[in-house]
Amino acid sequence: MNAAQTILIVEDDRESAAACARTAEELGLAAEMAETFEDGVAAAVRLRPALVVLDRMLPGGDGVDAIARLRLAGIDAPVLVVSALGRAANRIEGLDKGADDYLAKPFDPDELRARMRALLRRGKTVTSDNDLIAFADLEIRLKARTVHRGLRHVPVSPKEFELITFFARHEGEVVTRMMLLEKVWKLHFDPQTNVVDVHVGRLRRKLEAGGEPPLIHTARGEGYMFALKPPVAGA
Amino acid sequence: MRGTTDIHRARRSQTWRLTAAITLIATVLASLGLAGAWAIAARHSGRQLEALVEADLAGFADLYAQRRIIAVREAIERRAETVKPQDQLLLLQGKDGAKLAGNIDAFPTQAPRDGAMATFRLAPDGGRAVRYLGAGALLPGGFPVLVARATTDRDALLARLFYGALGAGALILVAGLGAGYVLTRRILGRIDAVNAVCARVESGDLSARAAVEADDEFGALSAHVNAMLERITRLNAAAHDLSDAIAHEMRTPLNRVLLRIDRLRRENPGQEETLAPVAAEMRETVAVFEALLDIAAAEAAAGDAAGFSPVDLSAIATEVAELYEAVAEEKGVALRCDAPGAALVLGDRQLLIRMVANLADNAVKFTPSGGTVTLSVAPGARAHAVNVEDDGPGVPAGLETRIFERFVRAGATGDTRGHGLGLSLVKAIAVRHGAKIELKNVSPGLRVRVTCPALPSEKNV
Repeated sequence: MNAAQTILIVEDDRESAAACARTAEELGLAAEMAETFEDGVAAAVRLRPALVVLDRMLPGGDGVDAIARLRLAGIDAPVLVVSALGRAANRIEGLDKGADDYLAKPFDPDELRARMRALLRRGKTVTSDNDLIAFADLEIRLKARTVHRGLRHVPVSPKEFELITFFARHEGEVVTRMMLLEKVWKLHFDPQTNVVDVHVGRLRRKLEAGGEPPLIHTARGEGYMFALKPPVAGA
Repeated sequence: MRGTTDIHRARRSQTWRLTAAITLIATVLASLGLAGAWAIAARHSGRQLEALVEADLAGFADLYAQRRIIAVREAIERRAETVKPQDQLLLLQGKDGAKLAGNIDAFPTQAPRDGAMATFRLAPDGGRAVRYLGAGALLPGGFPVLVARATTDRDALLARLFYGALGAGALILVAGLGAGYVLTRRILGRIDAVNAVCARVESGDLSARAAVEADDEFGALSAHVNAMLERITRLNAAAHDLSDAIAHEMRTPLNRVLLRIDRLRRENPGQEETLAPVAAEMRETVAVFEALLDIAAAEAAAGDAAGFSPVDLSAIATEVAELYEAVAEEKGVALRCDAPGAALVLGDRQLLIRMVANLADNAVKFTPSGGTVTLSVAPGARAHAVNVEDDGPGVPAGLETRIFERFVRAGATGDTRGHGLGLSLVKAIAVRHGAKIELKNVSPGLRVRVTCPALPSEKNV
């Protein structure tokens, strides 16, 4: 990743800010900090970061209200809101106000890393055109909603189609169960049973039914990764 | 249709019952009074007639005492010439029973001869029978004499009095009931206005207020209801602020703890055996904390429709079925979904999905392999029902209501995942939506039915 890339962390809680900074460094980014609403907006305008991590209950204002100011200033970096306002209604409000993702405190550091990486990679997935996503021998036709591995047609349910499309768009990234629930199922709560695991397991079996190599790997208990090779621990 | 229901409602109203009772009592009392008046009139007029008859008899007796039978005979003959038998009966007989004078020929069989008063009927000239009051007596010489007067005029007067009283009674009854009905409708109308406001509040619209129409007891009631609603709204807002504040004050330190544990794990790979369970325990604590917060938030917002939008329960049931279908299949449980048409309610989509998902989660969890779980939606005119039915073991007797309490689990052993908060949240979400929740053992299995007020059709745009 490019050394010039910066991540701006607007957060008044030191521990949380430190965790974000550490994650940023692991991802090869320079972390910059701001502790108040106004400082955050000013820093964003000055630094033009690749990603903004934004707290909500900041000295000087609600972080989500800064998003509109950033967009007005021409800053289109993805915004990840990390907040103690964690109810589903709070999340939906944040997403409605322009946040690209919303993570409630207390959060799992793995979850934070996965979300940050997903936002940084956003828009980089290689799509040959608007209709086709191709990866190794996998082909997803978006308009026809069909999935093929090589010449073999893989029959998938509508939800499984959305699932494989989401995975393919986040190739090489760790995708957590919570992300899948939020992005694929549009659910902002955690069902008690491991519904996501079972759905992913079924999709995996369908994708590998012809003896093809696996594309969806389990990532160290934190989630899944869509890739040709299983993820290296701690990556 | 509306008119009949109005009448049915009016009949059940307290006002109506009260005015009807008062009217009935007034009618009975008036009837008693009128009956008394009638009896007095009847007695008085009877006495008058008796007095006349007695005077006649006494007159004839006097005449006989002074001037013997000839004079009596003359007197009766003179009177019989002018008096019609329809009005008065006069008869004087000889000792042998032969007619000496009078306007009838024979002594009426029912008439007494001992001077006692009696009423009897007689058709004097073969025509219509007339009622008489009279008395027969024997003059000292052994001459039977009869004097009787027709009661026709008196009877007519009494009949008129009777019908007059009847009419008056009926008038009191009709006027009373009519006034009662009008009064009831008016009162119902004004009470209805207050009830309508209460119903709107019940269905979640806390902004509803009653109109204060006049400075009377109903106006006071409306004003009180409004003041109560203001207070509820204020308390609600306070509870919201408080739960947000608690959330922030607890989430931030919990977050620090989680992050520090994570840092320790990174810095001390050798301590993983100790730290991993701590992290897991911490995550579980956070999950319970989150669930409790969710329940508290839903409970605090009970009846508050802020942020609600039209949501289709059928779509939700279908989505939840889709979400759990894979899990059910893996467990060997058939998951059926029967959600035919749109069933729109006003609600929070995330919360409603969560409610149905929790129920489905439980059902799948407690249904043994080979069983069936059915999600169904029954749309209705006023309310839509979501049913989640399984053929698992059901809920142990005595736990049907307690099962909704926090941390109460049906399975005593820890063999199934969960913290015993799922159904509490279901209940809180149902209450938040003004929905009723029923739990029924249907042996085998359990049926949970959530009945949610339907979105009024005028809002179905």
